[in-house]
Amino acid sequence: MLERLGYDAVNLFFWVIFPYIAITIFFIGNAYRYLTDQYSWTSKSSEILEKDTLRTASMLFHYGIILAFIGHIIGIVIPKSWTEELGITEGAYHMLALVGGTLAGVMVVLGLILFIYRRLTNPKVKAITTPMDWVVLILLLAITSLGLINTLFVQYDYRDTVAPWFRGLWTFTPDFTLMEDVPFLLKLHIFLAFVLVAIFPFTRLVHILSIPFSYIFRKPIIYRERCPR
Amino acid sequence: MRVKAQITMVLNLDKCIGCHTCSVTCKNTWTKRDGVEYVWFNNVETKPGVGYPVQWENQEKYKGGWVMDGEDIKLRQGNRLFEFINIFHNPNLPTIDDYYEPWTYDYEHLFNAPRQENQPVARPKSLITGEKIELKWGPNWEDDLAGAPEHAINDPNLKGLEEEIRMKFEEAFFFYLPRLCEHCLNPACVAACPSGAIYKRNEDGIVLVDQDQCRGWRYCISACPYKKVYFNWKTQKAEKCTFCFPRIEAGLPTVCSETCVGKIRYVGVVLYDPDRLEELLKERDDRKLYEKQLKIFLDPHDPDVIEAAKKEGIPENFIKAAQNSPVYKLMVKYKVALSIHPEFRTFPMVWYIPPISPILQMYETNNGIFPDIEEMRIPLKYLANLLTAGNVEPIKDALKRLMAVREYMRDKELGREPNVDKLKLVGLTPEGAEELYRLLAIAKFEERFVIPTTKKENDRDVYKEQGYTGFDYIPDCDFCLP
Repeated sequence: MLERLGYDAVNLFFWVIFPYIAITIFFIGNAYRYLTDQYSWTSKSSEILEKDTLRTASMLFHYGIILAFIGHIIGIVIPKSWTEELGITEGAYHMLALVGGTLAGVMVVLGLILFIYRRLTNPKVKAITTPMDWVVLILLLAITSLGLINTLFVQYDYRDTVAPWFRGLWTFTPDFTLMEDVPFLLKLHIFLAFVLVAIFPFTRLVHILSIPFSYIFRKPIIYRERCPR
Repeated sequence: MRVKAQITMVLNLDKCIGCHTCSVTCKNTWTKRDGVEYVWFNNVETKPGVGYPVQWENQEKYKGGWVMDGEDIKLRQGNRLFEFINIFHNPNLPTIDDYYEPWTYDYEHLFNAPRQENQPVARPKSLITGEKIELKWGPNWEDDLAGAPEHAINDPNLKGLEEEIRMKFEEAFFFYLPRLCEHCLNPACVAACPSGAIYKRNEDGIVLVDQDQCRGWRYCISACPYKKVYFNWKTQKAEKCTFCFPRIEAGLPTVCSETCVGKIRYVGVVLYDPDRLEELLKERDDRKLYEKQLKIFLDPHDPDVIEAAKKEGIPENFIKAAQNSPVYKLMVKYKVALSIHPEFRTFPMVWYIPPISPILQMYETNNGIFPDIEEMRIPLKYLANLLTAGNVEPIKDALKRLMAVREYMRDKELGREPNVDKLKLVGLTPEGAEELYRLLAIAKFEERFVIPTTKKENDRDVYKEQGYTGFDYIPDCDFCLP
């Protein structure tokens, strides 16, 4: 009985308490930084110092991560019943996830390895690299390689367990028992992802929140009052 | 008709001695910080030369400015879709090596070196990596044509002159070109900024980067055809010449203008009609763009213009400054100042009076009315490629006017009968010649700089704004307000 309680407590921490802490830090941290320190809010580009390796690295990484993001929406956010409603069979979904996931994973991991190589070998880029840049790079590499390994080798059906648990987080009805039988490598992938969510507001990653959609609609030349009333 | 006021600068290249005082005082004021050591909001180039950054005028390379696209004009680097697709890596961005790797010298070594046979030397070291570097290029590497036979030939303005290129010592020519942000009427950097962080001030047309709003997407840097928006590698944000707006607001000239040893700079107000921008910019022939830009300026003495300006809320002192504007006189009234690279289609607002140069000995003097213009050491075609997109006529006219004023004043000073007919030939009256002479030769401070102070009585919170005059974004600044 006691053993079961301890087991539950651990699961409760990892799959309920910790995700909520991470999400809370994410929202409050970003809002606080946005309101108090926009001067530091930038994509932190180092292209001015080196642009040749960066081209391959950055294009692979960013397009890969966008693909991976879309994949996660389809696999985790959209319920299995919806896709089945649309006539996508289990087999078709699996193929799509395997091919798309592998492609995205390989792109991202290759991009990250090139990023790291570039930061280590180019003296100028190395000189301006901060410890936080390394934390982000290594954490991202860990999360995405785990994602790739899970896609290729673990091939666990997360749509009946991880997905409903994740959706439960957002409806404030998280059921940690769903996570009990999830393979360790996938659990690690998810846990590290929430670590990334928690440190997000303190890293360069904030630029993701600044995708300039308003640029599509605005007038080309902007005039501003010196001191708006 | 709508009316906008624009703070404008004219530089008289005829008097520039290339001393770099403007660059140094500007640097000490604005870019003496980590991350912008390599940045010169104002720099002086020897022309012909490739400049800073290398070949900045070559838009095949950097894709800056605007081009005609069917019936429309568009950014040369690409449309908004292009910017979204390439936002992770801007293919047209210059790298630090196109400018230069900033350095200092290891002065410590001069003091700390152990006793040795040879004198210790302060070797150069990179301000980015701190490592020793070998100097191969710098911001004014080509001063006075240094190394010109090797690389000045890559100056894009020499296009069409290759045949008559005069790089032999006896025939060489050069002049100085001080450069700063043009505070364009149609700024490509503003149009290219995905974040909307760069803007043109409504009151005076100064183009500024909102440091809080900049997200470091870098498109302004490649879009600017003059390469006058820079990337701070430490804060990873864009920075540019501010036209010393805190000084302008106080009625003072920019630091570069005030400290100019040769008194070559003029700062004042012009009025223009923003509604005509589009129509005038859509001129197919590059060579006509200079004249098109002239058409956008409004006559500050025209009662209709004055009334329209008042309706727009342009303060009385701005209208008055426009009427006494030295730059309006040089650009529009006497047409001795010309634009720079109008073919970039940004309508730049820092203009240049072309330099008069000595007559080449190799020509035999003929007896035309203005025999010397064509035989000046600096080829007209070169000046035209730089200032009027290759159109030689406006250059000729401006130089003729300058020569006519000289001749007229020389006759007057020497007690000879001045030749008024000759003035008429270039469209000048004796009064006009005297006015130009005063402006160009006497060049009193208060005549060179006619800058209206900005009214701040109605600002939101004047107390809070004090100390914010441009320095508020310096990190760890101990004299800035929180």
